[in-house]
Amino acid sequence: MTTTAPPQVPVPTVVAEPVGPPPTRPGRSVSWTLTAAFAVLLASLAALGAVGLVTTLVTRSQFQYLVNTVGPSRRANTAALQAMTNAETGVRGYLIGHDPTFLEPYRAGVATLGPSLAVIAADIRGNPTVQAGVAAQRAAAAAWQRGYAEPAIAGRNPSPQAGKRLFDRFRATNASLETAIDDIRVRKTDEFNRTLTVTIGLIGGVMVIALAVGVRTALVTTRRLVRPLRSTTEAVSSLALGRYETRLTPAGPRETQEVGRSVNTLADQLDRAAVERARSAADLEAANDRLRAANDELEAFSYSVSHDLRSPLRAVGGFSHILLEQYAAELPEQARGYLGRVEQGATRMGALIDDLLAFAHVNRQTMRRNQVDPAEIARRALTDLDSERAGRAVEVTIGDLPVCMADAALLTLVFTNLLSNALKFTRDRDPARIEVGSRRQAGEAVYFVADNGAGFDPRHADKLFGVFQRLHRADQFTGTGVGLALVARIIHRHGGRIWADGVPDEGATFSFTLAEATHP
Amino acid sequence: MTIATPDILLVDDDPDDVELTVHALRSNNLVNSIQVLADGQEALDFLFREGDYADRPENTEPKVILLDLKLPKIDGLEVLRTIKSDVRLQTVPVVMLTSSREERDVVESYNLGVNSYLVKPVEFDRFAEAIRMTGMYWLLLNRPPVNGGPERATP
Repeated sequence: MTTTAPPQVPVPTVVAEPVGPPPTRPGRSVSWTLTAAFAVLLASLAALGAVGLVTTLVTRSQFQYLVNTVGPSRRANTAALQAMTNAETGVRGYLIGHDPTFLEPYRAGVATLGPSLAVIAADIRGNPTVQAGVAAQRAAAAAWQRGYAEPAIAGRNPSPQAGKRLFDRFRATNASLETAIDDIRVRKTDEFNRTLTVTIGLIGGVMVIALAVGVRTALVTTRRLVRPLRSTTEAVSSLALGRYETRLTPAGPRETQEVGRSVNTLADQLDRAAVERARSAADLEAANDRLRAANDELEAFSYSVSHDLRSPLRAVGGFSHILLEQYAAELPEQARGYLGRVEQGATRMGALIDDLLAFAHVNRQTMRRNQVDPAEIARRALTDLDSERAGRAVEVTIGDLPVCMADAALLTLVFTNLLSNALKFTRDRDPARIEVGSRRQAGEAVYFVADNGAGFDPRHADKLFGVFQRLHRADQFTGTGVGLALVARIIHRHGGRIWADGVPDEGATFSFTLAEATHP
Repeated sequence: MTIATPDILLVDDDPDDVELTVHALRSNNLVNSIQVLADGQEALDFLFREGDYADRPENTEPKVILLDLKLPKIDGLEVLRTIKSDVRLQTVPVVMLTSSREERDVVESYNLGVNSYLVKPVEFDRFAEAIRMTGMYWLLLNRPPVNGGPERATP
């Protein structure tokens, strides 16, 4: 068992977080952030609603106070002045002609005063100044009535100066009440304005807060998501490019940290798988190397054995030959026969060794594939075999064969052996017929060498291509049993297939495929 | 047995092959004198007149050297290299007579300037024929330079 260095485990490289301040609140989840932001926004909305409602109610009551209380009171005060002025004018008219119709405005004015003042007193109840003003005005009016108007109507001629003085007092009280009411109006208007200002301020403030929270949440969340997502994208791209040592530093919100951890788990698995793959590839390569070494050794061995066998064999055959040649007369007939057999045995073994050497050589030789014309090669091989067909009637046809990518020398060996084989097994035929041709079968070119010779039993077809395998007895057809094994080896080295079809006593067809001449 | 002026110098450590070679040459009446040496060191001693061969006469080089490739002490290729790099000896024809068909042996021999490379056939008939033809060619047909190497090397 050869030891192989364990595949290098690369030190994990870490995709660095982008430079900058560490993200705020690391680990807090995006859903938490968003929920918080929404809560703030909802609260802002509620606050806006509440402020709006409250201020609407407040301003409405203030507005109503101004419209329904201050306004009517002021009008009532003006009406009171008007009524008393009418009453005074009526009294003055009556004094001129004692026409009782002039008393009508007097009586109507006096009658109007009370309800008008009552309206003011009722409307502005809580204000002591107004209440005092109302009371003062009522008292002044009563003083004018008792001190001047009634005596004048009764004909007691009160002093008009006193009357004027009393009425001026009434006017003064009326004016001061008006001033008091105006004060209230001013104050209330100010209050109303203040309320509006505060309301606008509150609404604006809440809106600014809501806007700030919303914008900040959006920005921060985006930033916290974008950075880890970008690192994740980079890490995944790096993994996709086969850098399985890439690891991610989980960062950012919990969600992206989970994604980061998942990516790391995936990277771990990819890494392990890659290491595993590299290891098995290395194992395979080592096994291949061992196999190659063993094969080389075996071939070198068989080659050298073949070589070393040649010398003693030459001695055996050679000395037998010399014995037969020089000492034939001194040897008995039987001894000469045995010596002849010794020499023949040596000759045959020499042929075996030569074939074995050729067989071993086919594998050791480097292959040079070029575009070749098999028909041309077959014709040349046939010429080389002229001696084997001398004196025989042999009809050989070589058809048009598609060109192919092959080692010319090796393909020559293929045709030489197949044709030699065909010539050998058609020895008894007259005429012997041999055809070299091709056909297309399942999209590839199939070459064949067919003969009308001794053929073979198809049951033994698988034995044809083994080394030293023979289907005929040695005394029928000579041969070492290496030729077809050699042919099969060459075809296999070319990535092709070879097979044989035969019928006993009718002939045999050897077919093979080669890679076609598709590229130089 | 040392022959001072052999026609053929055969360097081979296999006595069987030596015997068969000599037999093939003799039976064809091709050789009057043949010197057989069994290793590379002896071959160089003989050619350079050293050791046992110190008093071998000058200007009597063999007509051809038949050299095996695998030899004890100094192998055939080394002997060939030494012969072919010596001014006096480089014109002496050297024929490799060996069992090796190894392409690199053939190429190396030719690179070193061998005159011929012969693979010994196993079959005796063919072996004898090869030896006969070789002897015939180098002893009878081949014409060596008349005065050998040194004269030619001098301008």
